Amino acid sequence: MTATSNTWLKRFVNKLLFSDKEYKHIAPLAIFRIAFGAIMLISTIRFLLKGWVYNFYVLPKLFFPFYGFEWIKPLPETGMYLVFAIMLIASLCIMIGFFYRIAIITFFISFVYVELIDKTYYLNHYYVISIITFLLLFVPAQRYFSVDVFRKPSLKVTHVPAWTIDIFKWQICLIYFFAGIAKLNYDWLFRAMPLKIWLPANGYLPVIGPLLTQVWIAYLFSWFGALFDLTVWYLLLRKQTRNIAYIVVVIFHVFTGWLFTIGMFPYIMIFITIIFFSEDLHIRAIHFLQNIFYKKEHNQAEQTVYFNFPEKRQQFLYGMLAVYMATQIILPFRYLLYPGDLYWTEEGYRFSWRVMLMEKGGTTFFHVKDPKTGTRIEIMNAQYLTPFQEKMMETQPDMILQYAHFIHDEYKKKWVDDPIVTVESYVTLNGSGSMLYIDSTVDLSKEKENFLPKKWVRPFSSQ
Amino acid sequence: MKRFILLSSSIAFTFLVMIISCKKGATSTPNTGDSTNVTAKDSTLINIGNNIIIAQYQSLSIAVTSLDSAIIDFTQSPDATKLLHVQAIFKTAYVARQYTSAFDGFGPAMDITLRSIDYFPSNTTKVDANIAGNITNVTSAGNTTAKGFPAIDYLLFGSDNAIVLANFTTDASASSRKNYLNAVSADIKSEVNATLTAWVTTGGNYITQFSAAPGSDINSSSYGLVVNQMAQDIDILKQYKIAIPLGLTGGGIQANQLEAFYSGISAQLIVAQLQSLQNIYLGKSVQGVNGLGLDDYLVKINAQYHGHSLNDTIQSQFNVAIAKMQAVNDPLSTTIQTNTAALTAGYTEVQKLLVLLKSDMTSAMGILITFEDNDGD
Repeated sequence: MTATSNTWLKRFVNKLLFSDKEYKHIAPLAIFRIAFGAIMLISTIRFLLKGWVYNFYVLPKLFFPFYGFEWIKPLPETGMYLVFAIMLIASLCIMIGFFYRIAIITFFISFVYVELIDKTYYLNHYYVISIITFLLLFVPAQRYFSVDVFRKPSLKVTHVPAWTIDIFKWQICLIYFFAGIAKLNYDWLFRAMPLKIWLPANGYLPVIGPLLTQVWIAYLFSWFGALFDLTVWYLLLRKQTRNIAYIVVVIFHVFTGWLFTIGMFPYIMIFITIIFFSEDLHIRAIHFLQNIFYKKEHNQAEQTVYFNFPEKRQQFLYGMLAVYMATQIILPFRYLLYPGDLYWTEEGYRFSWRVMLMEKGGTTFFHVKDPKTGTRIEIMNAQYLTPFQEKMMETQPDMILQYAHFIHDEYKKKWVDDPIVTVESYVTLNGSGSMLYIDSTVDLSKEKENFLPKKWVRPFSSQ
Repeated sequence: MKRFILLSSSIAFTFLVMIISCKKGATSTPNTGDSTNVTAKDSTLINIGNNIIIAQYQSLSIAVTSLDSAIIDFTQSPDATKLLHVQAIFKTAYVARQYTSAFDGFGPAMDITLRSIDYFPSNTTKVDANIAGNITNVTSAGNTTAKGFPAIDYLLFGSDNAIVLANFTTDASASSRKNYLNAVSADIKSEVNATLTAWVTTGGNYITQFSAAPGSDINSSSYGLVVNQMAQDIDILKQYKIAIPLGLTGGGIQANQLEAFYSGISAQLIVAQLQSLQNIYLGKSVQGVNGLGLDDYLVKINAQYHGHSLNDTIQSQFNVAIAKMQAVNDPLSTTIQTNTAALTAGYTEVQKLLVLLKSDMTSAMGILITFEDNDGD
């Protein structure tokens, strides 16, 4: 490699990634592409079969886009189904490595588009998918054991820059670590909340049911969960502990997937953590798969071909990686900039790997008032929102604000010029008992969404 | 080496945070969680399913069967005595209906759309048009607000008794009106009986499925269904039986939006519906036996509400809301004008109860309101 102006950046990135070699065998990346494509295929089919395309993106009368992305709108019914059909085909193409570059770009755009339509459906694992798809845009995951290589053998390479594999490991480590950090709080460790609520709810299960209703079990699970998240990434990195760590990963995720309605998340984690295994194991896995599809002689040694990004592209990539990694590290800590209890205000809550941390329930009563006559009308939420949207809105201030603005515009059209919108909302957090959540005297139609603290969210008091 | 440093520092950091948390924890509330087997959820479901849901459907079935006989008797030879008799029986049946409304949203009642026996206010124009057109098929989609209890409420109480009787005797459409009344009554009876049959072991046996589905998610668990529907039921009560007639959703006081507007038992029906919810919560059977209910679960998991027992809070709020609504006199169509304050007071307490059931009870039981995946945030 020639010395260029980006050397320090490259070294910096590789340091952050703990990459000990400059090049690595591509096999783990190829397997990762196949595993990720497969789980996306299953995930998309499952989404379609559950009728969620209709329930989430066709049925609702209004949507809750993310701040700054209000211009993102759902397509009409046929269009939405088309987007999912495209995702389905794209994930299949990713898996088999067929027109990979086009497939991954298409999947990334369609997936992120769908996620941005409505934050009601935000899940940490959709965020994981968005990130992995983003990273997959830049790496040569199709250059080995793919239909593309089969079509055009000249594409085949055996060794790729180490970061193209290590970046995924880094990301997974980060997810576990931050999920672990997030559990180091008073409610989780010393009140065993919310597990003390969620585990007894599974008390009917055979064999373990009676155990789940024991309070000490909730504490044990809480502490073990925190310990697992805080250490498993390291145990996966270490060669000596890798196998046992992966077994623990599988057991942990299958078990939580069985206990809680967390959808595809456990399976996604089980699939993508395969990347931690050694390149030898990945090569053997590929040989195994090759033997299934076509008999191939593995006797002769594979000719080593190095993959290099063009010099110009390298500069861009290392710069992008540095920014990306910095963002990933900083984002989960942004909540520190906000006053008040994070779980209560949820300011800086999303995009931070906070999973299964709180049991929150709310009830909201919205009112519109004619500023001239003082006549006040109560809104029936079910008229405008699906039960899912209503539930999510009722405990999240930014969604409450969006809904208040919607009501303002709706009643401006059909009632009075500039109606006052207020909300009386009662929220309970981790069994605190419901209390007034939003200042019910504030005209929310006059409040703007931004990154500043929301002063109209009342403080949380545990008494 | 680098990894070793990172690991050590992360472990050190972990302990640091734990120690900080520990200090905060010193003043915490004591853990008084029950260490014995917390719950036998299935027994609760068996109690709610058999002694409340099926038993209430049986009561309703008896009530609407006797209503149907009285209506047939009345329409065969209408007279003033029979009118009074059928009116009294109607009121009893309408009260019995309130004790089943919380089960409208799942299982057999959902499949049959049993709720359609009580879509109020009645579309009286449509009822009159149907009678004029001699239509007796009330099950078509266009007739959902021209049938059920509200239609009978209008037909039997729509004017003073002399005129009502005349409508069934001397009026030009008397014969067609009698047919219509019979058809509406037969439809109620058939829908109620179909629901009951679908529940019992000798019929559709939904009870077995119901009592064998504990858990907390809405699509596969009976707790999810019962608790969500309780919240929904009281929300409907609040909105449709109080807020809309009171003009709280706009348009000023509209007494004609009341349930049982013509028979004038609106407040009584509201009280019955609240008592029905209370019975489900307590696990109290039709015979008044207090068995396993949601209260027992909340007690066993030691659910708290601002430092008090959540169960005590909910129980006392049920009592307050019921007492406030009992203080509202029927006919509500008059009281709503003359004593708006009393109804508003009842409304406020019902709203508080709604919050306790929807936010607190649902949350304490770890029940999910939706069918979708979640990651607990």
